[in-house]
Amino acid sequence: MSSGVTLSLNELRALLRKAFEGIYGHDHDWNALTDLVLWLEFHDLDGLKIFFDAEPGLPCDIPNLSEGDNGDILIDGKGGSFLQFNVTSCDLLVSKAKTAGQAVLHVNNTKHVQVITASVARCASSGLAAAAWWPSEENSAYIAFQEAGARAPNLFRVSLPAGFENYEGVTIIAAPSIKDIQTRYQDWFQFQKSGQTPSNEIEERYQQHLDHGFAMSVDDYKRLCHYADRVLVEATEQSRRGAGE
Amino acid sequence: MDLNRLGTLYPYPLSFMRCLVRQIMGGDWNITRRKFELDANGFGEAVYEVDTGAGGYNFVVFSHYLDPDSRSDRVIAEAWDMTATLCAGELTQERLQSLRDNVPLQEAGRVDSDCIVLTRANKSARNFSYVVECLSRGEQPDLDVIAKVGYIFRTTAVYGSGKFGMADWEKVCWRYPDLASPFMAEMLVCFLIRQFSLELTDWVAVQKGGDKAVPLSEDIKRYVGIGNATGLGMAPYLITHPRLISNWIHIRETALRRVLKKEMTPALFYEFLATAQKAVQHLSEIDTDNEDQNTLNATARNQMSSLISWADATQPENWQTILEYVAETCAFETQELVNSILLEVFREDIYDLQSELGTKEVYHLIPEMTLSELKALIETHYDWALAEDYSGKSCLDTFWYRSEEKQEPRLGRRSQEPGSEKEMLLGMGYAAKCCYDLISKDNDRRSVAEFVFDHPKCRYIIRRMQTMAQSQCGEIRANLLDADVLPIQLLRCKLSFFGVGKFDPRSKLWVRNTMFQGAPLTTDIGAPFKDDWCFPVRPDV
Repeated sequence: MSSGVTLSLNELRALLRKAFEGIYGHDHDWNALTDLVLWLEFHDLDGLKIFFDAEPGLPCDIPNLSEGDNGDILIDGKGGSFLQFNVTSCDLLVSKAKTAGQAVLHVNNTKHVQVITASVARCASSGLAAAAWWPSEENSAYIAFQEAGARAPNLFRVSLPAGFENYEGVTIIAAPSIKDIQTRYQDWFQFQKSGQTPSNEIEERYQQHLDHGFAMSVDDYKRLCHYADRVLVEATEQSRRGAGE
Repeated sequence: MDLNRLGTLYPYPLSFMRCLVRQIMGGDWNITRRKFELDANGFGEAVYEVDTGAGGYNFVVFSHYLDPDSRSDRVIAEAWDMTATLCAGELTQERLQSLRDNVPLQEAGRVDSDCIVLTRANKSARNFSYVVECLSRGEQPDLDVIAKVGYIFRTTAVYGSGKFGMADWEKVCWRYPDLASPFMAEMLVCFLIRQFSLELTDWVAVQKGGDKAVPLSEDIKRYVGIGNATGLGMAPYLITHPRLISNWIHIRETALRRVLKKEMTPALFYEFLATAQKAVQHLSEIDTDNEDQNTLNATARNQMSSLISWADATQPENWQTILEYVAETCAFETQELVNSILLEVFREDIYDLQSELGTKEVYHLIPEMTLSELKALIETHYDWALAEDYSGKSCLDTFWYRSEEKQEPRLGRRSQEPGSEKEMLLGMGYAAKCCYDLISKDNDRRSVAEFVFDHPKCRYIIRRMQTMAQSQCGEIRANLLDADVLPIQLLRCKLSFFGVGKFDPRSKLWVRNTMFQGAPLTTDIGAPFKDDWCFPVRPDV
């Protein structure tokens, strides 16, 4: 354990669950939050880094939900991490797309917007196509899209032309097929793309972790254990009797 | 799924030990002792090679001196008589050294990702010394003494599923499909500890008695099982794996339904009576100081004897008639015993169900469901949870938590002990009721998605309820937060699926039991096998 520690995926999952349980108690679906962080991590989207960055601000306020004039779902994240309310936001998107055929969600005033990629994948596993985009630095943005049932999202970096400089927040649209989305948001699909991660690489990376474990630094491991240990109760003579003699 | 009934289940032919032994005895398995480097006291190392025909594994054992004052079955113990691991892959000197450095530390160590199970066991000090003494003098031990405990070693923990750096269950399914049935690898390890305990006993007897010493007779060896001490650690598993448990119960019920349609021929009827008679003898040989368990065993024994007399006299025409008689006249304990006996008689007709015992523990939210639909779902599938009265002082007084001491699961009294703010989420009935109450105050036409956005604390229980409503058997029905909760019922339910039948409860929180008693030995591999080692009884020696 001098340079790092190798965890099984179940260990990593258990630690994260406890860490989220330590943060939220029973006030959140910490199993879903754990799955979200792991999904991001295994897709090379810095799940653990986002978690460590977000943790000091968790739990954050429940964001404001409203409806736009065109029926879009609008969420004001009140400056909190999107990690906390990504799952419940995606519930709204999937619910509306399933009942209305198509749904659009805009999230503003939030941190860690890249977490939306997991929502794209969740839509695809729910039988919907989805696309999302969010700004990066200096006139560029990311776009992620995935057809219903496809194994992993396509993720690209795009150069933003004039007129899109002030684009803020994150947008995700769910519909029966990518074609339906392209019809409404054709600009985003025409921007110059670069830096795609092929889905077979993502799968291979996951299998590597499964086969050989997940390596992390001792510092990160200790930090995670520190959060997870919050669920533990102090031992006393009385508590020892609570497990048998 | 009433816990009072689940807590009376008996093992049956699809219990995991039975599945494992069929696999060992029925295929291309070979178990060979490759290393046995022990000193005169039996301390040192041993390696058993397990060849399943499809894969190869090593069972690596470290046998240690243990100060008798340090011998404890609790999770919080820090030293044991033996520690071991089951691992895949090559056993190089470097790897063996790493295992030597880590396996004896158990929870405090780290093992590699080709290790599948990590375990430890303690001697039954009484039985080990006694048997060694007898064998070293050239005598076989008195069966009365053996029968009192039933084992020489007992396991105090059997860890799998990726703990301490080991292979994840998903990896076991992918890389080691020959061990990819529920708890197959864990059961194999218990079987191998039993084998090691028998060979260790013979070894130490020879070191002590020299030429005078004799090995333990094969018949007695088969009667010796592997002890097990199971505590609260096993209980949360049943609550956190509702789909798996529901599936296990569903398979058992499917098997029973299938068997009840079978014709009752005279030969099968007499096989049923003979197995019932054996079960009565098995029950009469169980030795426990626990008064409640003794009463349960005595009741089951008496009711079984009455059933045998009645069946012999009336010669019922079909199996359903027997079950109707039992349902009218017998306690749950006896009813479940009769179910197991019937399943034994027709075991070959249910073996195919073994492949269906596994399932994935995932719960999908249906966000578009309206709250009125969700309310109806809860009223239909969680009526038991809504019917429970949680207003009494004692109804929510128990809380389950993990101690800072090795994360040992423990129970506390909410009214008397600190720590309830960190309780584990195991009171599913109460969580369902609280969620239902919140939904009832909301707008019926809102969607689940809108509701959980405002109430994220309800998201987990809602997706769990939506998923379990589609399962065959649903949730275990019990208020686990009640002051009078009996965790031992949860333990017994799970242990019955492992194949454990002899229960010796030490309190309402933990139980000693015996595994693999009556099972074949590794020397029996290749010999004819009838899979009839259920309800083990003392051999005639």
